[in-house]
Amino acid sequence: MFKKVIVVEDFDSINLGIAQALQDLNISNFDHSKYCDDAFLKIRKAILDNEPYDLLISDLSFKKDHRDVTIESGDHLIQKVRFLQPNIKIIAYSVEEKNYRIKTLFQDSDINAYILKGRNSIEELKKAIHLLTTSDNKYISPEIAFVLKEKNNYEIDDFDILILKHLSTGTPQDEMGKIFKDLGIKPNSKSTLEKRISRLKDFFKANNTTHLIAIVIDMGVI
Amino acid sequence: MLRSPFFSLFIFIFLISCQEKIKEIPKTNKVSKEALAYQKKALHYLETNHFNKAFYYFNQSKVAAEAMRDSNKIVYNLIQMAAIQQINGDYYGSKETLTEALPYIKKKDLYSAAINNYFGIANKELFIYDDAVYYYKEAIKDCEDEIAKNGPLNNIAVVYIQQKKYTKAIEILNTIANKAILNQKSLKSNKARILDNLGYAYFKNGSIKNGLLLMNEGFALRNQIDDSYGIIESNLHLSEYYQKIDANKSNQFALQAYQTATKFKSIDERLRALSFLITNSTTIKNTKYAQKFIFLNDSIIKVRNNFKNKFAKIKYDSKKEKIENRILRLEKAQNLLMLQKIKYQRLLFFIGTILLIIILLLLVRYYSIKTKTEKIKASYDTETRIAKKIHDELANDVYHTITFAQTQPIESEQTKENLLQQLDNIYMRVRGISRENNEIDTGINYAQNVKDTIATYNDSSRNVIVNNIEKVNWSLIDDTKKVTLYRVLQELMVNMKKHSMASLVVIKFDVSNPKFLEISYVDNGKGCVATEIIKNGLQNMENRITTINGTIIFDTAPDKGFKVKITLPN
Repeated sequence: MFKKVIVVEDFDSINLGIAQALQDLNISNFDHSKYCDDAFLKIRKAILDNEPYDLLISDLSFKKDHRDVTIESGDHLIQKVRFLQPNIKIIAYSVEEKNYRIKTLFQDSDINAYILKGRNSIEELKKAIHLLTTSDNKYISPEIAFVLKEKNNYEIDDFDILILKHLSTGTPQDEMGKIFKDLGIKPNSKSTLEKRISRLKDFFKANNTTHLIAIVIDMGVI
Repeated sequence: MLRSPFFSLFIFIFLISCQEKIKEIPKTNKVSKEALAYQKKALHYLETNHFNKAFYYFNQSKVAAEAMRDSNKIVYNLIQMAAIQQINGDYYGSKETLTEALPYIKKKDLYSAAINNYFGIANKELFIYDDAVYYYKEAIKDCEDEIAKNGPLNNIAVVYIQQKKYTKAIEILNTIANKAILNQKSLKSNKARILDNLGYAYFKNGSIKNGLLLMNEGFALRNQIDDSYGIIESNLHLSEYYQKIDANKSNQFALQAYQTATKFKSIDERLRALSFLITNSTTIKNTKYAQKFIFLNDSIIKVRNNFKNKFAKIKYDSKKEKIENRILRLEKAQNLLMLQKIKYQRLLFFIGTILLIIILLLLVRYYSIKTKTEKIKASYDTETRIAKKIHDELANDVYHTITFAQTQPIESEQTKENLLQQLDNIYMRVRGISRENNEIDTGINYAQNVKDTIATYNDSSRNVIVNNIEKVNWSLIDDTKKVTLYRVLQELMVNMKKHSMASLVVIKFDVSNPKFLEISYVDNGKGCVATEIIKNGLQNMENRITTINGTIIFDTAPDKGFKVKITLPN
């Protein structure tokens, strides 16, 4: 279990929730900051005192007030902390659900967990802390788990359009590979084409090739 | 060289009167000073018998006087010029000069009298006697005092003598001769002349004795006052008288006249004296006189012609100069006009430029205000849209939750769970509104961001298929367009999710036309009646696309899906 934790969050109520969760996990040595600048100073001091934090829980967006700050967002703080203390575990805790922002955090700052603030977020936080204590696995809230899975997009390219066009003019699937080969188009292997066609059927919810062609013509894809 | 003693007298009187007049006029003007200076010079040359120069300066003075429109001075100078011409035998020229003076004569005065007198003399010398008499009479009319009238009257008498109308001449001369005023010392030369002429007239008329008496009387008077010039005339008259009576005496008088005339360089008188001598003398002497006569006559004709030409030349040069001056003045005026024109053109150009700048500034201001207003309107629209959304989607739920908390016992686990559920629902909605209006990354992640956003509308019953989004060179498209496109696609997706019940959506990016980016949206949902498009908040999308100069076309019908074509100029 983590020995020393720092929480960066500008809302007291949320702070209270997190404090409750930590206490439930028997973590009593924790600090909190309402400003990223303060948090960063504390982390640096702890390193200098040779008593570094081993977990950072940070919000991403902070409300601006009278204080001038140099570190404006949690993203920025996380980035700096990761650079300063590479072995610290970091949990981002925010309402932010933009895919690219979350992805960037995982990819660039190598955060260990991303928890979307919601009804069950305190429970998720506990779960995440457990996971991070016991393993090096990442944790992400289930609502946004798809962000890390690339399979989500239904993207078709010119090659797909070409296949659809040939299908619509009645070219049999078997001959298509040969035609493509003659035209110097790659890939042209039978298996690849088969895979592509079945993927298109999936995308367009078609039962068979004829159905697929009917749909794509109807929707003006070709 | 002088033609007749009568003129010189007249000129003399005239000069005095004019000089007096000149003194009276105050001269301040530069031109008038110039005119006066020329006149003084001219008078000086006239006194020393330098007729050419005198004529030239009178002409200059006249030109100067013309410039200041001083008619008195013009007339005075012209009269002097005419007099000089007459002295040198240029009678036609003098008539011309006098005619030139006529337009300046306004009233009868000394000037008009002088002009008429000179006209008379010229006509007399040109043998136009009737005209001469007419002009002399006119001169008399113009004269106010008696003494002045004597000159023209005497002249008329002389004309009558020339015309051989001796009785008429005698009549006139008698009336003058008897005037008591002539006995004054200053007018004795006048009296002597009149007596001489009267005697000559009597002699010609046949009253020889009476004539001789009067001529001798005049001769004596002239000798008495030492009027050498008059004496020549008396000598000539007496020589003529004695021609038929006593040739020697006649010769004597003629010789005396010749000598005096030679002294005074009076060629006409010398010629007349010579002619008497030729007639009276013996053959030998005759030849000598005849030779002299011919020589003198030739030279005087030459001299006079020479003068005529010179006067004409002076006048012509002056006229030419005048014309040249006029041309110069005209050119100067034209230049000035041109300069002024250029000045005006410059001014006009200047004003035009300023106006243009002002108009430009006004236009810039107008358009900036317009854009500003449009921006303010756009943000106001957004605000009201969000406010409406909050009201429609949240206020009801929040109110419902408040009522729920007020009326239900929260202690109960079931109610608490219910309340939490409701609050969570509200929280989700708030996040949704926030997401819809959140900032958009227009950087390198834009395409991915759009794809991710679109992907959030995928679910088990619906596939959103994207084609060629990566083919668009997003870094070349400006941020405003990217933001607008993002928002429009988002709105299309929201509408699709809310209303269409589509199972398939295809979003195609077409970059085949280099001038446009075409984006087509097609779904297989239930569509709607085309006329109801505006009601569904699609107007908002149209407004957004129009602000970035793009076009958006909606195409739909019930059960035929929903099609949108967006065209953005690159």
